[in-house]
Amino acid sequence: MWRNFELEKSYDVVIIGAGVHGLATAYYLAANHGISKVAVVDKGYVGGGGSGRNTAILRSNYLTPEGVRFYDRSVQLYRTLAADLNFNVMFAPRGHLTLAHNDSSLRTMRWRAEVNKLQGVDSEVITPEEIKRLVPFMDVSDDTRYPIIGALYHPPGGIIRHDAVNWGYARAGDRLGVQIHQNTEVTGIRTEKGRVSGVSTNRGEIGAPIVLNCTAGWASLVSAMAGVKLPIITHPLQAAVTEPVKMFLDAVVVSGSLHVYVSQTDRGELVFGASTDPYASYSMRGSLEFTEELASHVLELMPSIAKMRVLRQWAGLCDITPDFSPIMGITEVEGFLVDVGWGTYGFKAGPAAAEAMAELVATGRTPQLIAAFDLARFAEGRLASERGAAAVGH
Amino acid sequence: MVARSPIRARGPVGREHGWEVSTTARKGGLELCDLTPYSKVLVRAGVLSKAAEVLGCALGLARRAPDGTLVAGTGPGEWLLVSGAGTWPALADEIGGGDPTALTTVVDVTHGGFLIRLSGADSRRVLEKICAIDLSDGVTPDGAVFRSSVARIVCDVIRDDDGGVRSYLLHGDRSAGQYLFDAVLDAGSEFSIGISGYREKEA
Amino acid sequence: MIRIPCPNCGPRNSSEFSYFGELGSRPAPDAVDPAHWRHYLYDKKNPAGWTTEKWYHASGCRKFFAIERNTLTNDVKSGRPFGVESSSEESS
Repeated sequence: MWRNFELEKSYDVVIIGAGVHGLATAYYLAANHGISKVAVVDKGYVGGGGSGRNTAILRSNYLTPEGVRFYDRSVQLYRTLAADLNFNVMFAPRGHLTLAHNDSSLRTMRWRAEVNKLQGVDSEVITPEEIKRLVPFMDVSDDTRYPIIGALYHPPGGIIRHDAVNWGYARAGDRLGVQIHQNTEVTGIRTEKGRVSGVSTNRGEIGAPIVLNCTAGWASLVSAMAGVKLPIITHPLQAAVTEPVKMFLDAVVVSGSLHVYVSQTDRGELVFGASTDPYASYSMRGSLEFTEELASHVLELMPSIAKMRVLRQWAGLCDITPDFSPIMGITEVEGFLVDVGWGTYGFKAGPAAAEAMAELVATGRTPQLIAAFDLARFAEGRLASERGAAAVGH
Repeated sequence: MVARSPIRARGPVGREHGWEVSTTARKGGLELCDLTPYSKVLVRAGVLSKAAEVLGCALGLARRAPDGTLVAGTGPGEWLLVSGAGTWPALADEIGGGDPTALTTVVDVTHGGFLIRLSGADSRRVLEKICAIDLSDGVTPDGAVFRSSVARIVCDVIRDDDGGVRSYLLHGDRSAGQYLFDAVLDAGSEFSIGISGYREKEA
Repeated sequence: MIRIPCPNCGPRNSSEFSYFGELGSRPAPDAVDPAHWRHYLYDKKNPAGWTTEKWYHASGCRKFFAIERNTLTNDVKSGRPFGVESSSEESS
């Protein structure tokens, strides 16, 4: 898949974190800008963090025009990714349903549908009868605690094989000369006169004029090594899968009110996700209360799956910002860049974020697509709120 | 005018002190009883105040006043007084006097909450299913009081044994009354729980 | 379920509480410029290890208090009501 190398004395760019953001940025640096003297270093293994722990859902039906454009670019890149990387990433645009259980959420969905259509993104509000046709197992009756009164239907949304995305970017980057260094933990970031000069690792020193932090849940700790403070709190986000069964659920089903999202993988497992744990933590242990809550909510929607057994559960770390928007771009330390703060939705944004970050590294100019997500916005009081469409509803 | 508990009266219905109450006969054994018509008074005062001294009950403990009023220390600087329907606990008039600078509040919350009694030897096993607190005699003996989540509803729980029979009073917000009553019944079904009608006097 | 030691009620399930984040000292609103105020609002230490934080016992005594918790292991040291100093507390 990719080669192992000894650490070199210096690189043009060092990227910390071998998840989808780091690997894809390295790939686009080499593929789009011809910068291939790039090292991606990770204290663990490729895709071992959030990139391999998310629920692999893709969509672009956000609420703000900026959000819609950004995620639509990501979905576009994902759509042709298998061909671009020559690696099967198993993208399945099965359709994405966000359920409405009350009038106010139905109203927001109509709003989202109109914003989406204006941006050329396929979204429409559908009735419970139409939901029933798409997902026959769903309880759309009136006698549930939170009756389903409609849904935002987004046909281009779907699921992808997240590990394959990580491996595909790693492999394609490797072909172009990018070096991936696993088990290489950054222990310090060196700066000289306000400029980054390299990183210290458990395998030795590396010199680099540009260092990019793509470490999600660990982002604030890594940035602190360069003396950069980030407004990030790390919360675990748990997920679970059931034993595999015959295919019966085509679409991705999301309920914001019930804090749950469900999809069925190509292997036949049901993948469940929910909201983040209610307190900050770096612990990736699963908890029983999560499984209990999740099961009760899923059974509200699909009572007929009550006999299915949960196979395993896990947690990933989310880097949550005060406005639920990412932090991308330059910092007060010259040459030290960040692509962090993605919270609960970093995976689906990976390709578009990486493409933009690669452009920033190569040209030194911040692309318009990510200009609103700069670190300085917190000190200057221009938050970019995406809470409504991003905090829970995957 | 008739006052109604948030918990629907089962069986034959009568009137007591202006409240509509169930007149179902007492069942005996493991039973659940709606006592919402009882007078409920919330007192807030400083922990070291004169009022606290008069109430004579620390956080987490309950006692009976001479007039039969149940005094329960439900929170830091917070007490719940429970007396018979249509009465006003004498203690509520004794506190608050003397020191005009002491901030003491006495609020009649009779109509704002529900009050139910779960009694019987198996009541501990029922409550344990829906409440995470240790209900053993060592931790919560007769006279113990705590506020916690019961079937996900915030309740004041008072262990108030009835002539040697284990018994719990549950008090919480009115809007959750019917739900909690049903949740306790559901938890108690495997122990053959039954519903008893309203009764005027305790013990 | 982790258990949170409430100084009033004793150890209880974390689901009884609301989490209010790292304990910081609030600057006087009229004595700081907006940049410093935003620094206080947004910039947290987010440490991987022991930290002092504020919790609210919503389903119990309805009081705020501070605990020390290890964010890597979720181990918790005894809680204390506000106004009682702890040796490891730092201002931020």
